Amino acid sequence: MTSALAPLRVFVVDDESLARARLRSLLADCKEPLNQVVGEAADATQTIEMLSRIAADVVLLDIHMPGANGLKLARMLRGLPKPPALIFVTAHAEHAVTAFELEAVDYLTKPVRAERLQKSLQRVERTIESVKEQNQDFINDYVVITDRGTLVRVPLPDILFFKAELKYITVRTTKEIYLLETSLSELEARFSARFLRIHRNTLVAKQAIRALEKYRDPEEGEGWAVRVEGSGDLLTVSRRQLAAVRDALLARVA
Amino acid sequence: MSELQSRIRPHFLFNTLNSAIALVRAEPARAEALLEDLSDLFRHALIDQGEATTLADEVTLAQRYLAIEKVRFGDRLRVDWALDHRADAARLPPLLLQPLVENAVRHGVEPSPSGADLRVSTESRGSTVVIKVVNTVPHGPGPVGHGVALDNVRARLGLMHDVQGRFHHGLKDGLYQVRIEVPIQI
Repeated sequence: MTSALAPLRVFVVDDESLARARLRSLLADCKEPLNQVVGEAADATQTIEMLSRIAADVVLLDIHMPGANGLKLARMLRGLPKPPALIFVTAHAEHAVTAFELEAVDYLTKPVRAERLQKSLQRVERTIESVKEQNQDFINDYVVITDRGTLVRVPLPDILFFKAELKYITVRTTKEIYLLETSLSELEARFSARFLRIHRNTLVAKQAIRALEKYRDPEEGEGWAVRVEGSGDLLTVSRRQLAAVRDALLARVA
Repeated sequence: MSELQSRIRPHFLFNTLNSAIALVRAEPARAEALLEDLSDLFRHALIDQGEATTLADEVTLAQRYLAIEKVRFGDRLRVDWALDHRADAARLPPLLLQPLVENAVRHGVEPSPSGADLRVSTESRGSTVVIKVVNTVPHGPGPVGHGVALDNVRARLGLMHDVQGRFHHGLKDGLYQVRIEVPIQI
């Protein structure tokens, strides 16, 4: 398996320069995952200072150091805006429990074997990938709209319905109306879990359907429409979609 | 083995092996020297505590130990030796000096980013020999040792030399000082 990801950014903390050199050569030998040493430090103060400027995905961390020890440093690192993953690397076996309480990815004892370090890094990589996937879901929870030159992220739960007009899609939220340049079928494909097609030109949030009403139009005759919660709009339901809308409404009652 | 553990801390072994592995590729000669020093140290640690050794041997062993720590700590460990060779033949319990210099490393060098200065001296004064281990200590309250090494040294000196063996330790003018006095047989 070759990784398509950017190299893992690794930061090394140990008060002994030889121990840092050893980790650096192990990291250089490790091809899966690919990694890059973005910096190294000999104590906690230096680490905090450097990591305020340098982004790292994972910190390899010694425990016994002058000043604040590795466990204290780990607590500080957890408070960073984007806390890196932690792997402890120490000659002492007795701190393992505390290390895992600090949600360390791993606890390695010196001398570290290449395979052992590789396993830890792969674990870090998997964690990062799963976070990325979650972020992908997060992106799908928003519709990004350009509104008078401003990029607006409209949260999906705020949207009541999409209605296709001649050139644009009208996006109706509880408070605003936005115009979006896309196709209704694209929106339907992306958000089918949340939105229901009620007409050739309309997608309604299932949550926003308050009522299915019968109406009588002098020209078109008898028809059905959906009453929207929040805005009070009445949206025409096509004959083809009537059964689906009814089902959605009943599902909500149930 | 448990006695060996009480005399040499396990993580010292692992840190040293880690240093040796780090050196193998780039500086094989230094790696060899390091492993030789480590072997000597362990060989002496395995000697029966009842046997006696000489001050000269104890100094050699402490030098081996400090050479190992020098590889780890580099400039953070600065050692100054002042040896009086007339004192070399003094009889000591084996592995007496090494725990004392180890204490100096543990409480002087390890907690300090800038390290510590360490001075080991031997001096012949008539029928007695004075051995001193002095080290700078980091500012502020450092981690307090359990005094196990010191109690052990005192007990073993007493066994070998009775009241003629003297042992003092304490903080003086920002320096931690251990002083041993033993008789020398002519």
